[in-house]
Amino acid sequence: MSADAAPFLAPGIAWALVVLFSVLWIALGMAWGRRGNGDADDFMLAGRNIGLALSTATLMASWVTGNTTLLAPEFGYRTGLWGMFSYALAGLGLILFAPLASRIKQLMPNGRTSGDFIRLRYGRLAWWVFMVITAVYTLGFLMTQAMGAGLLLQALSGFDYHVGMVVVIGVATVYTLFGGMRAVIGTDFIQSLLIMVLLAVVAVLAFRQFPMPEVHSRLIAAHPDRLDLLLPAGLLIAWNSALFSMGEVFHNNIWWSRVFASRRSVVMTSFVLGGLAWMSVPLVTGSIGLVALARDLPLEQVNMVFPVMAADLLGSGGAALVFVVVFASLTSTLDSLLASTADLLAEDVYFRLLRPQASDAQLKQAARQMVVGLAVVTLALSWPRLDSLASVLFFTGALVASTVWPVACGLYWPSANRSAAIVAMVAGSAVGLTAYVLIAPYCAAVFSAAVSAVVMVVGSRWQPERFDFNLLKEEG
Amino acid sequence: MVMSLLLTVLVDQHWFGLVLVGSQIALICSVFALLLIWWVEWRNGRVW
Repeated sequence: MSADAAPFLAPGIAWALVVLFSVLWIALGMAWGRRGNGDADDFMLAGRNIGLALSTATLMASWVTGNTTLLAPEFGYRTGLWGMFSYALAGLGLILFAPLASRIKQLMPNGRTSGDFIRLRYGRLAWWVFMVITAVYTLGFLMTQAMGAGLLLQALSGFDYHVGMVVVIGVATVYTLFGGMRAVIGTDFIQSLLIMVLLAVVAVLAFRQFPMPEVHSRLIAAHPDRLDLLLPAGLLIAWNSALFSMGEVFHNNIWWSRVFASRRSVVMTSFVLGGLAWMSVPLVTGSIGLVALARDLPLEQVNMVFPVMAADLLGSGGAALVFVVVFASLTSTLDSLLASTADLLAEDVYFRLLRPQASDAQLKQAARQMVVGLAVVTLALSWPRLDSLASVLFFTGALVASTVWPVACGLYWPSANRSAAIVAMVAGSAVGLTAYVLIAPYCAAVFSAAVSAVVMVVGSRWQPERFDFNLLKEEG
Repeated sequence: MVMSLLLTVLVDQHWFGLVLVGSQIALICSVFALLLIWWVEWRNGRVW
């Protein structure tokens, strides 16, 4: 669908939904933000004691991005079953991180960020390499969500690109600024329930109108390759998706901040449950792509397959449901990105690097300023409308996959060597980027993780370190 | 041609339906599981 094509939803209804949910998120976020003792730990980590329900929901909601609701159906449409499966395998990142999350909570009772771990475990030089990788990834992620907000709200409801972007970033920034991590986690709970319920409604109604046996028989007749379980490209994409997601989760402070924010007894379970619950989302949205393919629905732009199908099968009510799902997905991801990246900058750069003598109140104030600063930078970078940001995000797969083994080895293996960790991240990133350019984008994470693993193991065996894990118990 | 046929395993209607219905049931179960956990924690004052 082009930007000038007729929107799926009347702008008046879209504005009413935006106002309704914006007021709801901001009111709830500010109310939850008033709980707790108001110190920096409370603002950055919601008091470090959240239970299983909120912990699971916030993981799930943060991992459901605008891409999950729009790219997964496109994967289903283009690649069939393996497209859905490969997208769903990104949930493995959360599940495989579960034991590490429990270990982090045990080793770092006072920790605040993933940067804290890298600095204490491997030293300042490794921290710099890690911060460059996480900065590139996070900026790419923030920009894709911001631009996704502008493009999606424009396509769904006819909003101007810049208006849609400012509305979504503005709402997420306001409640994150006033409510901190409590606001992010509390709204994530409501947003995750909303996303799951509405997606289930859309899927059930869609398959009632177009039954599964009919979808299957039409696909077998016209597109049998979409039902092939041994599709070679599908298998490779699935591997890359799993490794990319591991890199994203293992290194990024979104997930580390959830570890530090959760009660120790629930950390591992919440990551397993969050990953499993999340995996059902791309399978359900991807199946909508299969229905569109079976129906031979004309699509001007294939990434709009989900809203097109919902509007086609369910009318304006379906378009309204998709609009709410997309709005909730975007705000739940952007708030998490803003809060956890602001924490990383405030803790690692402001407090540990620039102002070690800063008071608790100054640290909290710095975190709040970072939230606003990040929102402004994201808006500025996303203002000129670029069309190829999805490839930028995939490009970062080469970088983040190189951090998987340094993080995992550093948590469990006292011999894991700091020089090996630095070389593993640099060499893994370089080889992954080379594979991205010379072979195919979906090879990048596989090559990066493989090289990083070899360097990490060989380097640590060659010159083993004797790390004392008690050094990770740094005071805040 | 023969090789490509040998390397093709098409999902039949039974398994196709199972995957699609299974994912929808999993999604709905996730909602109920989250609400149930929240309710138990809320009763015990353990939500936050």
